[in-house]
Amino acid sequence: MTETPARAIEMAHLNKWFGQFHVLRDISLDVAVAERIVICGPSGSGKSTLIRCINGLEDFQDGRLVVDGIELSRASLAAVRRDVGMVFQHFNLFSHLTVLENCTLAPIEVRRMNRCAADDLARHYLDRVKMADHAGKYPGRLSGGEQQRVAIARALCMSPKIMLFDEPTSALDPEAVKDVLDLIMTLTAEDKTTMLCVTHEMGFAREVADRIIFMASGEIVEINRPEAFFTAPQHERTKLFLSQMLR
Amino acid sequence: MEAAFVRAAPAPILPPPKADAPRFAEILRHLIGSPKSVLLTLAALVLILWAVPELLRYFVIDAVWHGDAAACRAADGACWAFIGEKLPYFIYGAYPLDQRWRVNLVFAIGAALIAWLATPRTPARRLGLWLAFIVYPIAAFVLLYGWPALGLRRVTSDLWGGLLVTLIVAAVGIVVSLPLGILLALGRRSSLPAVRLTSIAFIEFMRGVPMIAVLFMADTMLPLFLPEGVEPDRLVRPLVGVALFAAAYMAEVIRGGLQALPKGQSEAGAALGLRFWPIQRLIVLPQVLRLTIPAIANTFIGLFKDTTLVATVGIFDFLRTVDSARLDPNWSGPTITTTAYAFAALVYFICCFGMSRTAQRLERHRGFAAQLA
Repeated sequence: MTETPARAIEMAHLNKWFGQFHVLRDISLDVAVAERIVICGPSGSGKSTLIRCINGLEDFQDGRLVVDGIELSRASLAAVRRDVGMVFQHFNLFSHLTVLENCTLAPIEVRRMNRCAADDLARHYLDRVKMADHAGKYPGRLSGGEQQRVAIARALCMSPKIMLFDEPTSALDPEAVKDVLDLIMTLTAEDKTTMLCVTHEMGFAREVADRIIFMASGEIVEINRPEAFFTAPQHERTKLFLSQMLR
Repeated sequence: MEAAFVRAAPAPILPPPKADAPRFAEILRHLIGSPKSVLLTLAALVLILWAVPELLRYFVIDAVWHGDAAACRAADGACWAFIGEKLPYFIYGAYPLDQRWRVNLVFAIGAALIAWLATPRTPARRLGLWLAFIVYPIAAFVLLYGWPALGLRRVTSDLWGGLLVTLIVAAVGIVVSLPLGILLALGRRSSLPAVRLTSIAFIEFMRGVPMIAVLFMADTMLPLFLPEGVEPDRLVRPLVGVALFAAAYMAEVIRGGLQALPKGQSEAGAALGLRFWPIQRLIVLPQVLRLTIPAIANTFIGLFKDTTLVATVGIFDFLRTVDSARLDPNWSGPTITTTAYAFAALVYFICCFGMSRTAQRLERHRGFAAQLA
């Protein structure tokens, strides 16, 4: 029996460079289990890069990152990824597989589930994202909002302890945005999953987040409770950002 | 303030207007609509009237279908009787007469496998692929080369020839070059410098050298790499050369497909906990292969025609048998050479056109590449 670590993610003095460009500067952040974090900030501030570090889609040159009690390294990468789900801005559904096959691929290949069990699991989650009727379709046949709901179901099929959302609604039309955000809210509330979400949707951030992290130019500028973040931001950079966002 | 427009009743939902099939008048307008069209139509007609009747006369009407060399010498038309008599030689080369059923069996099984696998939505494709790529090559080798213990007497490769050899060279080239090309393409994109540099060096060397040079090198250098006393088979040497040469081209075709596939596809796989090889096998290659079917078919067709070059290292492939048969003094005549080469062209065309059509059919079938990988 392993004890569940109280901290889902521990990040200490993370530094990353793209060539000469210092994209993540001395990032330290602890995330509690079942905590819901929203990361916002201007584009190019390193938000996406930061959450892509958590499941090793980006490496970093300096610092320490412990995810779900496992220190991230080349050897532990696969173990970490098994328990960390990710939803992308552009959905990234596998276009040659049906909706159902998209969801069963990883449970069968990674969790070694048999096809029947994986099908049942996939149908369960497709039902929860209200896409069960589309199980036999190919992703190309679906609208953006539908594709993102499938992508969420696909990630949930691995029963992740931590969910990463990388601008999940930035490529969606306004009607689909609300739809997907509501879904994320319900699912993470029901499952008590630890969640990190990069988004520009301030209403969503206010409603769902336990803490909001504001990043600019590769560093964390401010961490605050949602109420305080919107009503009484501390840092000048945050104030500027909010004044432009809420105008 | 009042809105500029508010819809009162919904716009009716109607069926689309009937699409007119291109009518006769329409076609006529394209052909003789303007002075330029008239001129082009006339030119095309003249060309057709000049070429087609003459070709028909030579290859069909005045052709000698049955008869002997004398009949052919007397006629001014293709000598199909010559092709008829030489056909077994064109197909089997010098393969012993009483053993040719073995070749036929190999052809029949091969044709059956191709029919099975080239059909979209075919049953049990995985089993078929297993049979075609693992079991069949071994069985074909045993059947053709012989296994005295099984009662099949040895027929050494210097007796093989004709279409048999052409198909063997093409099939080996195709079957080896595709997986090897995939590995080289992945290698060229690897982050490991040793793997990447080896792949680049191999691909660029093979592409930078004419195929004839590769064949000569395989013929003379391959024995040097093997232990003393081991003499590689005369046919195996060009087979190795052709396969490696084709693999270099295939690698670049596959690499083009790899670059066209959005990075998000493999990232999504990685995020789900899949490792490198499962990502390639289940996510990347099925999509890349489907994307590159036209280019792969292109390479295969080129490879099929390039097999004629094995004649330069003394292999009696199909074209070489045709070429040597036309010099048979018993059949000497003014029409023999034309007939022989026309026949060779026809056979190559049928094979290549068949490959092209098969590729087009598979292209339209979504699941095919997924099942292949």
